[in-house]
Amino acid sequence: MHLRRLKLQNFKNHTFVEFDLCQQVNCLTGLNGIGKTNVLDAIYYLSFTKSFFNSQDQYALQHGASWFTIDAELESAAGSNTLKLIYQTGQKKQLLIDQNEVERFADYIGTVPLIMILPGDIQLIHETAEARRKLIDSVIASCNKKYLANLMAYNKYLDQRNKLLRDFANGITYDESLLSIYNQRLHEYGQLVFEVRKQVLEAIQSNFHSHYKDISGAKELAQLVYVSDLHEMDMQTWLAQQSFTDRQAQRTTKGIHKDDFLFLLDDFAIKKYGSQGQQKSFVIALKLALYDYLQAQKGVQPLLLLDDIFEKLDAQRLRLLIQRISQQAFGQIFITDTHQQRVADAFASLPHVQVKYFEIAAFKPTLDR
Amino acid sequence: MNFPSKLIEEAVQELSKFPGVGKKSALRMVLYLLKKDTETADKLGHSIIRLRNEITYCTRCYNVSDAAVCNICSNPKRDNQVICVVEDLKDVMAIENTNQFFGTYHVLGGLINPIYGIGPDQLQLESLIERIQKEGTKEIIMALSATMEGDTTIFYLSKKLKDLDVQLSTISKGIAIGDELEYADEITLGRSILSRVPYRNQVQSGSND
Repeated sequence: MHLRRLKLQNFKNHTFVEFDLCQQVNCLTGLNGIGKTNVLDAIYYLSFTKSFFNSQDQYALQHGASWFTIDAELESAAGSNTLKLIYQTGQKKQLLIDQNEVERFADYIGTVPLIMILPGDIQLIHETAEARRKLIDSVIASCNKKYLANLMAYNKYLDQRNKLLRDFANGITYDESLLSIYNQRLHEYGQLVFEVRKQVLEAIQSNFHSHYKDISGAKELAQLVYVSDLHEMDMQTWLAQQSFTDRQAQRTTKGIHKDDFLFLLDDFAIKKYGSQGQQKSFVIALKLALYDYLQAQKGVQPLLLLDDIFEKLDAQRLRLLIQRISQQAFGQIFITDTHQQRVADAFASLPHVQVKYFEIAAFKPTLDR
Repeated sequence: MNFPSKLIEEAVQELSKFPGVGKKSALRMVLYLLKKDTETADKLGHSIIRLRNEITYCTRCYNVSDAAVCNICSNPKRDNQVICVVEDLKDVMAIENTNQFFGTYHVLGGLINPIYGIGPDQLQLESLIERIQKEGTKEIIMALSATMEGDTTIFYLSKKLKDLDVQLSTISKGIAIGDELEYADEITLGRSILSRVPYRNQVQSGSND
């Protein structure tokens, strides 16, 4: 699976830009602020129907514009399809496959599986559990529609239960049987989500080790640990046991919405003990392992987007990473960098890899409209 | 929007409060009324005032009614042993139009939804339970929307009714008649396979039998 052509109009700083892409490595070069990452974000849009950086579409509009479009040609085993994403101010965002509008975006997610690696990834280590859950969930949702539906149902029931707990605190009569209904549903959906998260974490573990070893060239043992209340006892039991605490707190204090993924290096939290280099290697290895998982589940090679990766890794780690991704295990790759020569050098020893370079032209100031 | 007249502005304001009616549609209605003779507007105005002031609800099933007990409840041909539980008047009308149901109704007036501030107390649930106890109802048919809120409401009622000697059923969920299987969504299709029914030879479009 790969994109053959990509065209952006009024998308962020690009008034009009078109790319004739190659099947393997596509390298976007240009000065800082020229909009390289914006091109990657446009590809992300085609995969997830939203921006990686901002969930509000209007921020992807070029200044002064009232609409943007992203067009692409997708080649897959099923043949060739055109994809078109249209956003107009004040209107519903539309996604068209071969001119046919996609009615539910949730059904579409996963059509263009994608993994993006970017400098900000290191924040995953330092941010709250929510960011880590979001990453894992987005990957699972790309290949497991039921998971997404179950997770959404869980969240809706969770909102209802929390509102109910607040209502009880605000003087509405305590209603044991209504609460028990939400408990029951949270148990059912929560358990399903828990099982899948557990399986996925087990499934990616060994690839994760090997990616980390390859990229870091070191011997430390890198581990991902799934932390969940549900390891101890099931959701139903928690909710029954926490009933009093939950009413005090006016929210649900235990459950899969509190899940976390611990990043460990030789049994120590990488957050506290890992060096910058180790942390970078760790998150890259995690994303590559998720890539492998997605590929195994979908049976196709997802797109791999590498943003500014050359800036963030030292020469040796970089060489190892390039070696890794240029093996046949990866499909179409997009790389951004400020220096074309640096990318060319990195691929010099790999003549079998097809690399196409796109120099993004100087920033054109937009006319006031 | 700028209006040449305060009167028009006021009328547009009020009309645009209707669900699905925006400022432009409201203005179109206002202009229509101005074109017609005063009698048209008088009639409309009076019917709205009477509607709000004189409407009553059936004391038995809480359906909209002109008398203390509604037409359906007071009809001797209706089966009083079967109660169909619905969300609102629209659903009563929809089910009546099928000509397939001959029992009575109970209108809840909403579905349990704490986020929207609707709890069991705001709905006609307590009155339903009392009614079942008083009338010795045999069967309750839950005809509620196939949404999370509908599901919660059914679940809640099933808990409340578990000690009563009444059969609780829900309308079946599945493939709509005339629909092709491949276009059914996965959840509906999956559900309809799980809740499959024994085959009975019957005419499919049987609303007139």
